[in-house]
Amino acid sequence: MKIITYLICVFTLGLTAQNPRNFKFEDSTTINNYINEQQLAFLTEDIYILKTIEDYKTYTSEGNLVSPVIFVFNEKGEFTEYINFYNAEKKLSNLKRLRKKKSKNSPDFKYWEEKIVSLKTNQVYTHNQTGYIFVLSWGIHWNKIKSAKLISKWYEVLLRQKENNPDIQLILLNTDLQNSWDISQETKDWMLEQVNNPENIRDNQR
Amino acid sequence: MKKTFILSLLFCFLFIKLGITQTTKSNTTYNITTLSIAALKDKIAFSKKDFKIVYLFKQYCSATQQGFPSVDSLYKQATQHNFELFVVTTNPKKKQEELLDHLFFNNYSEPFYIIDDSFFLNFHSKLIKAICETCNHKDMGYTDFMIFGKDNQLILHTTYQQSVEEHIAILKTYIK
Repeated sequence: MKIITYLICVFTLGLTAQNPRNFKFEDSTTINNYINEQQLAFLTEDIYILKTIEDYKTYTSEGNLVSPVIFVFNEKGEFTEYINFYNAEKKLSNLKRLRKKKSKNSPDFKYWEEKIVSLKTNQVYTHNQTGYIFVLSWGIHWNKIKSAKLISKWYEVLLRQKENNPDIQLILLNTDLQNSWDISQETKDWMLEQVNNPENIRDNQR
Repeated sequence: MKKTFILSLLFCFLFIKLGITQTTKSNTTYNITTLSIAALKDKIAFSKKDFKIVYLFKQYCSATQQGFPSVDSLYKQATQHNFELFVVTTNPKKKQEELLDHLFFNNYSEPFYIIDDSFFLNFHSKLIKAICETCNHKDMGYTDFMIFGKDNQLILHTTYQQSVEEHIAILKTYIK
């Protein structure tokens, strides 16, 4: 079963990741180093990671491995909006413009809540059901400084919004492979070899 | 009595003419002034600063989007403040909310001046010519700027042939 999970992860990453590939297993030290080096405005308490490799598999295989994007959920946890480069200024500058109507085609926040833990405390996320939730997807593996800088800028806009809307909740979801997952070093090495080399992915798909 | 009446009229006239608005959004106050070209010209002339920088800003212009963040950084880092920055734009009234969104999104706190004169054609050239008779308006576009001295003499103006980097290098000499 575990082998199938690894294979699915490798295939999904191979299909969705863009070149140049830079997958590594990360931990709180490497993530914090990256944030400091790139001078990103991230507050550690808002950073979350995917809990297990199974959660990662589910997350990536459903097409969520995209950045820079923000997934927005209303106070009930219903998915309402998808913010990207094209609508970020309009949507983030005026939160009244966020759609009131829930989207039927995307899973609720409950789906996410079960799959993420705090990078700092390793605790699961608890939704207080009082304000909108903004999940900002980012990762070192994207190997694009511009993308991380953009997420950082959007995060700063939302922090300013939070001054007047203290109920809004911000989640900086790091989508990197995590060292803390319960997998052997051998498997980690194999996974990295596969996902960082597009030829291996194509060979495996044949 | 007559004097008071005249003073009141003058005050009303100035208030309408300058149309100064302090707009607040999420605990941030934006300094946006809606005024005529003539009133802007007066405001520049009456400024007592050593350097008066008039920057032509257009929210949707890619050159402005590329260059203004650096101007913003210089402005926020300035400590000497021997300059006055006039960020001039021509946003129509119906698009002022979009301008406010743009300022909030980018955290711009510079003083913005929205020109409310309406011209059918060549508004941009007319604006430059009105502010600066000696400027070569044909070589200027949005993101260009003019720098006037304390005596209101033109020190320099940039042109669209110059790069954003050249513009910023010039501004670094004045925005301190």
